[in-house]
Amino acid sequence: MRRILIVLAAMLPLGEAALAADGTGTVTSGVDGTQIIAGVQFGAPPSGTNDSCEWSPTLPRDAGSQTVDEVTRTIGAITYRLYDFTCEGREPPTTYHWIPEVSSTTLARHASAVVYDNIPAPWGQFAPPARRGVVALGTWFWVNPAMWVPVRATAWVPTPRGPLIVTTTATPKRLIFDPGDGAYGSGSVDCAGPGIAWIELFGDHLPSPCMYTYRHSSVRHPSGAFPATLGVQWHVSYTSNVGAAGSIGDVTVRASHQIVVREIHGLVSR
Amino acid sequence: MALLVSTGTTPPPPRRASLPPTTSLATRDDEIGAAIERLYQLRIACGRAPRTCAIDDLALPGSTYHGALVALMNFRARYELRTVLGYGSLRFRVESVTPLDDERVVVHTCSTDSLVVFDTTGATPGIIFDDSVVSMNTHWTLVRHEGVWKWSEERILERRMEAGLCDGF
Repeated sequence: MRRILIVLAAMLPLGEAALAADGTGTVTSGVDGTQIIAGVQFGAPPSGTNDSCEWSPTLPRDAGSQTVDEVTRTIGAITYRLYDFTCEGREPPTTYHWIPEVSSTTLARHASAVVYDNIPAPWGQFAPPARRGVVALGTWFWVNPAMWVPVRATAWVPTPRGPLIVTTTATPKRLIFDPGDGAYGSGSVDCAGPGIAWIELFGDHLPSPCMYTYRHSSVRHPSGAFPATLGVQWHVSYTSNVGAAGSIGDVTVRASHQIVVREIHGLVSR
Repeated sequence: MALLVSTGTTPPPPRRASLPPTTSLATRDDEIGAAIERLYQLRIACGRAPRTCAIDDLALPGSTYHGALVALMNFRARYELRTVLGYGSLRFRVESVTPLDDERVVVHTCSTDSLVVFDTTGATPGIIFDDSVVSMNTHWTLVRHEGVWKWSEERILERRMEAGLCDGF
């Protein structure tokens, strides 16, 4: 039997992602929509002496001046502190900003929202192709190895002691395949790494660490196809410039596939 | 369809060469393009005046987007957080329109939002609350309700905390 490398997997759009409050959960597709705290800066933090701009906490001023006399304000559940942001050569040179007073852990969680935005969708590939599965023949699954790289985001806020900088990193851990055959099958399988792309040279009987063998035809399923998912589990962690570091948890990004599995009976005539 | 709309202070770039529509009905494209423009304009108006936001005119009552918008506008109104004319812009382009049926379509937009949100409790324009720039690829589900196209669901496909996700802006 010849396996065809062209993938015909049907990607089904799913609903909004559902991330648990603790940062674990399943992103079904797209991004998680996590709100990002206003005032958190993303990207490269100030470079120090070469930077022509400066953040400094605003001091209370007399009534009638441009700024208010309150230097902190609670908006929602977050306390913000008022800062001057002054840049040479800019007009006006100084603007006033509410900056959230957040811990490195909180900042890391919000940086993780940007990390989730940039986690690639797990476009799975199968051999045999998803619409041409065969009973008792191992189905290889894999994703593009180019996506198996860490995803990072850096967030920072000015503080009276200098910028608090946090980098959150999502690192791919495991490839998880739920075959969708329920009671007819043996449940999810997973493997470390992106899997191995099948090539014809491998033939039909070489095992892959990322493989599942269907035992029954998908005609048993009402739709005629097994509703499988292929996901990548990412571990999310953070480091900061103040020594704080830790784990945020795991997040799994999944994509849906309709797997059609057929029984093939051989007939030998003499 | 390549509808490009810019509001605020940044002048719009030249209209981009047309992208292949996913529907062959030009009239439907025009209708949806006009509807999307109207919806974005209403949304911008809501940012400037959260208390008078015409939520029922732009979001389908009972929809997830309606609920999210009600919560956001209540939050903005409570804390006097507003966008101010002349500070930032919201630019978007319709990438495709995919009809689901006669009353529902999915519209793919790419947008870049640099509108600055101010705390307007003090002097004008106020203290900057949020001056982040966000570009997004979004799938909007539009539903025709009482003859008017309204947003019912927003699904962010891709988000970047800077401009540049949308080709050209």
